[in-house]
Amino acid sequence: MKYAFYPRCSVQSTAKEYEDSAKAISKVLDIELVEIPDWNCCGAIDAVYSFKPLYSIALAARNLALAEKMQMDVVTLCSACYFTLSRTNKILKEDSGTKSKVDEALGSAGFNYNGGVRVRHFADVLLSDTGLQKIKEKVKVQLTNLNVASYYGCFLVRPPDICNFDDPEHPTRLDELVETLGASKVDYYGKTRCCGASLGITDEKIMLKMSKDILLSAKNAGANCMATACPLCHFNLDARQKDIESRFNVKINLSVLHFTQLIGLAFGIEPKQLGLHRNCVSPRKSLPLTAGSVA
Amino acid sequence: MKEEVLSSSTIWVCSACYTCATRCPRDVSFTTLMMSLRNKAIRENLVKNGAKSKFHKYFFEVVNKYGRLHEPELLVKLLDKTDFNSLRHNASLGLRLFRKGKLQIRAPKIEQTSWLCNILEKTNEKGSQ
Repeated sequence: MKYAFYPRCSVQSTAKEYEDSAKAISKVLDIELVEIPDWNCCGAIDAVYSFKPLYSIALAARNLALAEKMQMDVVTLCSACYFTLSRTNKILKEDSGTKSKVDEALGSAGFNYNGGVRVRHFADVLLSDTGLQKIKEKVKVQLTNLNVASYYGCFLVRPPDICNFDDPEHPTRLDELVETLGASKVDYYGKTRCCGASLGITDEKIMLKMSKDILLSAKNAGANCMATACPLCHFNLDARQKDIESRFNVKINLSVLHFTQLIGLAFGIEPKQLGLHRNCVSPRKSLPLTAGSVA
Repeated sequence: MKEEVLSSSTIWVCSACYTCATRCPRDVSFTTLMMSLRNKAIRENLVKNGAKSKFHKYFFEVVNKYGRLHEPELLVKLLDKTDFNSLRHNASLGLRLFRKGKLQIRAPKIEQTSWLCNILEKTNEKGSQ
């Protein structure tokens, strides 16, 4: 299957390992991710939207117009982009006043968007199109030592009229995936709680507290690993974990993997190809995998 | 009342997680409401603590320059250069990211940057500069 791939800005910098691991497992599963040529920032959830709403919608719409020419579904690795692009589709469909202004802005550069693009999260592509059966057939290493707390956060499942990957209160699809890989699922109260998102930049102490609660609830429920589906959530839970530990004087040391890295490990793909060396909480030191399986 | 709402810090600590909007039995989207209030506060120049709204302003500036977000540039713009503790703290995070190869030093840029000025002009939202 072929998809119009929307990489997201941070996926090519702070979360490079997310893109690398997604591409590595796509190869195994015969998924072709064709990057949208000259894609631009989606405007982020509210970063541009709160400042210039119309401009922000036009930004996102340009990506949709580019993808429409490719005649494929848009696939993104980032839950926030999944939300932002899907919201744009909804607004353009329901608000004719905004649509005509955005059409004019797009038209000034020769673009045209007819509203025919379906926006999807990569996790949905794997679970709905590829299917658990095919994933199971490709598993070479059963991850039996891992107790995985799947983290859904906000935009995989909320708001449900825009992001409907799973049930907004009790999602389970990532947990089913985790079990398919031979690992055990961990149920915990933080699975759909917000990590603090961009408050990490504007109001750090609030974000650190929010992410701490999620990490500790996963750990206290018996997790020895977390799996995320969003680069921003991953950044707050992994790259900021050291800051959380020093601020609250707690030892957490919980490995947080992108869910694509977890699948890659089960497929027997080299850890380096999955970018495991880029994770800030070292999986080598904190993951109970068989000796030699993680570089 | 209007001034009280628009100059409050409450509207800036909403993380836009949509939990309250999802649970509201009357389908009130508080999240969208918060975003609209922020926009109104910026337009009417009623943001009490300027630092909170700077994130949105600088994010927009970086994206409008390159078409994509360049995280290091946004963070440097936001740094309070007079606060030594904050500088030290951010330097430590920056170093951690650099060691892991997570800092993209060169700014990414789309080819069609001219279009950005175009949409800015076409969507010009009065007074939100």
